[in-house]
Amino acid sequence: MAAHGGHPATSLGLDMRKLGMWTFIGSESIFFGTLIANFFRWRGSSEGGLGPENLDINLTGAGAFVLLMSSLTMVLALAAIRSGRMKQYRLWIGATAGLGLIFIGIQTLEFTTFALEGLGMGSSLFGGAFFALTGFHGLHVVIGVIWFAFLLIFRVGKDIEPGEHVSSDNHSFVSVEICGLYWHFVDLVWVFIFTLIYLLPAV
Amino acid sequence: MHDLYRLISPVNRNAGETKVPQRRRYRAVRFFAGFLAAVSSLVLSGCGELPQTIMEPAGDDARLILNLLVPILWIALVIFVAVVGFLVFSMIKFRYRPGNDDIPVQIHGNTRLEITWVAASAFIVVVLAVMTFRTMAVRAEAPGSGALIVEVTANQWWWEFTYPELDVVTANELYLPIGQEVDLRLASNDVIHSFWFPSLSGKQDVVPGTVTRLNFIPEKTGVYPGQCSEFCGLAHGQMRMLAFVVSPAEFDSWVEMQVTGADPALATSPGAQVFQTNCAACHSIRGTAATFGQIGPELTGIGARTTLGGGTVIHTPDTMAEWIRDPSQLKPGVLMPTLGVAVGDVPAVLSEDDIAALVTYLESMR
Amino acid sequence: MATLTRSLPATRTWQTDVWSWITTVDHKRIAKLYLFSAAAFFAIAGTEAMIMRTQLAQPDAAVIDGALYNQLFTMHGVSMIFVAIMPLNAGFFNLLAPLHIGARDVAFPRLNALSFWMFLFGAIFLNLSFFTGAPDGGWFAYPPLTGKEFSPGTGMEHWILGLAVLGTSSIISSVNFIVTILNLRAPGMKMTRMPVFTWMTLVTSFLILFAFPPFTVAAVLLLTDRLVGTGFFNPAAGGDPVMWQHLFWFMGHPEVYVLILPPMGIVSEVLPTFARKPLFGYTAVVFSGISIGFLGFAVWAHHMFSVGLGPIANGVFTAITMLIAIPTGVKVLNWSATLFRASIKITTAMLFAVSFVALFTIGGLSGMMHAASPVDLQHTDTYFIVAHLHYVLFGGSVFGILAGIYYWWPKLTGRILNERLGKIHWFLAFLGFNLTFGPMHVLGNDGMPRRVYSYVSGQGWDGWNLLATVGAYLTAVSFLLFIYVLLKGLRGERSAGDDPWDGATLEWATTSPPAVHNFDSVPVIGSNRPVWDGKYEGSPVPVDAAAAESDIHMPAPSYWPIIVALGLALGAAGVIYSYPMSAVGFVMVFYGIIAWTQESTVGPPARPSGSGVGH
Repeated sequence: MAAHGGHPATSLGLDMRKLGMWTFIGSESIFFGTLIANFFRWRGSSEGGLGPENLDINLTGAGAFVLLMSSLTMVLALAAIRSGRMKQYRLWIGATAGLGLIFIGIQTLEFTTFALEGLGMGSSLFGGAFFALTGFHGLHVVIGVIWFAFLLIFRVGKDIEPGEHVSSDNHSFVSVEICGLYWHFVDLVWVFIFTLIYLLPAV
Repeated sequence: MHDLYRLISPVNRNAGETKVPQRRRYRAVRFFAGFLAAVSSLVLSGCGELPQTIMEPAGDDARLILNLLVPILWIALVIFVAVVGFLVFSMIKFRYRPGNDDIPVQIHGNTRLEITWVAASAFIVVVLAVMTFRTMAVRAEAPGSGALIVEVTANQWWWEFTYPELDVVTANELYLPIGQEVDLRLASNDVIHSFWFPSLSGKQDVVPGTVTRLNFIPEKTGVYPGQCSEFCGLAHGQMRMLAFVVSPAEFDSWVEMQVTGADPALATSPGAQVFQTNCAACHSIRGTAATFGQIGPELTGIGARTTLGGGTVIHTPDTMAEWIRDPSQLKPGVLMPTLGVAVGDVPAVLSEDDIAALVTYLESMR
Repeated sequence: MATLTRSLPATRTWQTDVWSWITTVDHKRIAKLYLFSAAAFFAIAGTEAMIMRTQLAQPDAAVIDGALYNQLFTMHGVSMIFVAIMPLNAGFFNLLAPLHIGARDVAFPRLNALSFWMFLFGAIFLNLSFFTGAPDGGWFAYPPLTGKEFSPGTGMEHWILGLAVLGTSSIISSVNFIVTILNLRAPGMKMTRMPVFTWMTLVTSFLILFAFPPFTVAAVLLLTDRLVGTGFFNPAAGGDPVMWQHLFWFMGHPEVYVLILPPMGIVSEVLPTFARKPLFGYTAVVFSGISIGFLGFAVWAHHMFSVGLGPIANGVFTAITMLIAIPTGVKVLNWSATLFRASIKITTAMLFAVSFVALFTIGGLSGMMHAASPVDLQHTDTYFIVAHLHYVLFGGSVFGILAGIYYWWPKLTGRILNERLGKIHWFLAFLGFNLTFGPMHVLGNDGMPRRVYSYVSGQGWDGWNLLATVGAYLTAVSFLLFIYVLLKGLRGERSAGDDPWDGATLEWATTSPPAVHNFDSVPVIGSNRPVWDGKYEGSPVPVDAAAAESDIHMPAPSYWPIIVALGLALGAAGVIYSYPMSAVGFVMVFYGIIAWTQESTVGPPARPSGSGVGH
């Protein structure tokens, strides 16, 4: 079977899993697009509940910075495994996971603050749309962090000799690469979300 | 109940001008639609006392739409006959004949032919679009200043009609003067409904939270059935209504009756007290002490209405009694409580005497 | 020709016991699972329809009450769309797409199994709602009627969560087929040489990929409206019920093409085979399918003309909707032209395929009528629409699928269905179908609204309704006969041969049924009718010599897909019944995915079978 027995040529010359991830990201974009549209629909409806004035832009800005940095560490991790620098690769993956965790921590702090103030999902339409969008994104970050942990725990790439330069269709390399694709997508989406929710002035 | 509209039909005839339904004209169209002309005439012969049809317009909007539909039906009929005719012809003419195992000519396509039918399809689309847009342009015209304003409020599962300029509120039976444009503003108290009198105009959804608009001119006197046409819950099928298109004089006298309300002499009727105690929390009747009930349909002039329960049953004193006794028997899901029979451990609120008195009282509201 | 067919070896599957079905990752077995399960749900949904038609046979009938009727029409619609026709189509995707492109399996065989099991558990979960009160807000589930205030039971939760599971299954399956078709084509199998059916599989997969996310989001937002008290769709809380309609129909309309494009593909395979000619204008048919797919995303608001979006919006959506008539018309004309100067073998499959063209034409023409928004204001939510949609989805989709079953049954089982009984089945189905839905055009024009559980006499509806019910019973009889034909078709010798219909596409180059690995050697494709050209143009399908020498490794069976799918279904069900159940489901999914990635994916080398191309 092509996808599993080594790496035979494919019609497009692309790895199966990579093409699959791109396709999946296409679908995911629509998921996020719908939630973003929903947020836009309700961003003016915050009477009596969570509204733009409750948002702590400094805190979440720090989170956004952390997440952007994690994209950088992901790139470094990929470059490391490509050239067989396995220790560095693990280090950078660990760093990426750590940055992801910090982001989740910041988001948890933010959500908890709102919850303690009684500003839940049902408090206003703004709040509902806010939690739906950022929560859905947060879930993606959590999945990403679990994925990184998985890469480390199950030692993906253990078949690569230190110092070995692997080809771009090496199975282990692609395993890490699709994780990176996913992670960059999650980061990129956050750039949009952060801009729309926190930076654009409320109507 | 079974023959609801058969029974109403004398009203239709009394009202006048439309006597014989004009079915003949659209028979060819019906043939296309149903494929079965023979069955068609057979089936149609035994019915049609009060048809809820789009094919016999009595309002300008319904007429406009039918005038768009009919040519499209004809175009469709021509295409249908051509395609199916060709398929049947080919299946017979080009069928495999035993013994002839020659391979037919392997035609992969014909660019010129294919361009031709892309162009032909596009041409038909353009024709249809132009026809449609012309109709839409007429429909988009705002109602004139002399239009009769009616506020329609949809409820699960009945209709309220308010004439703000005339100070009239009524339910389920809409009176309209012939020839005068009507400007409807539609709102809902609960879920989405759709307001539809097929003979008068196209339908318009009634969406809670917004006011939608619809305007048309009734062009023929008569009684026209209508119905909620957006699924709205348990008794959606029994959310019917009637439109009475009447002469201006008849309309004026109807309005006067609604504005005046009940005869003050009725206040001493035994039913008046029963009504005040048991019904007035939800229902109002102008000219009586019961003027605050808002939840249920306005009952001013109820004695003159032809149907009860949102068009569920034909109105007679017997069905009125039946309705009061236990409306959910006639209309499952109805929000009006059952007062005339015991419900579980709760005994009946109204005795049979109360009900009789109520019926007498309500029947005199005309 | 002789090099392409060969008698069947005695055994062609590793195992035949239940365990092997549970753990299978073979696309052909998954196809059978899809087809069988979907047929069962089709029967359930059809029975629901029969109960409704019985109730409507006469005015003021009391066979069932309004509450049950509302559950039945909701479940009939949801089931036919999501758990009958869609998975029937998916069955054909599974059976054919890999065979058509000369692949050994799909790109992700275990994901494929996951899609199936998610579908099965999602569908069962949806239907279990009958025990606690099925959803009764229509398949479109317009709020606020479907909000907590007006639908307090758990029916809507079944609807939302069931469809979320089914939708996710479909998205996963779409990713799989997109990658398979783009990336696993045999050498020489250019996109322009792919069979139309596989093209339609690809287009359909993209439709699902992009249409389902907004709907899934909307469904989850409705769930939060119901459970957490957000008010996105609740006007009483400042929400917007019309937004639901936009999001729903953004899925709802492409969904129609998800249901009809694959049967269009089936018909595009069946017609040329029995006409013994190539499909007329292959390129035009493929491009029409693609443009129907694209336009399908830009017409959703034609389901909302009566909402009052304003003349501009209605005008735009009217225009784009009418544009769809062009590619649709092209398809119909190309199919018709395929029959011209042909040598038509009138088989059951051919009868269903030609009926498809005729009945779909009726559905398309009535669709043209209410594409004109003013006409739609009279037709929408009446029986005219019921007639229209059934001419498209029953006369169209189901007849196309029936054509496909008769046509590919030999490839599926090695046996041919009884042609004489098949033709009787066709005749009864054709007659019954038209008797059922033809009269509904008249009912609609006579103002009978949809979704009413009873009606009063005296409006000219009684006779037509009775006729429709008689037609429905006739249709039901035709399907009982079909079940008999199928049961008969499972027994007896596997005598169909590899290429019983003198086919043109690659599936006819392998054994019936094909070996696990489909083809002994990887074929090299030189045209879009490789097998036909091999037989009649003297150019047998060559094989990839390099690939032929290596061992064939098929994916190993796995039980993790069913465990993950079960976990997802439990997770969804737990939202209604108990959160610990959700937690158990979550653990199953989590553990299942980890284990999934750690198991060996390559099975033992396939047994030499002597099947397929180029022995």
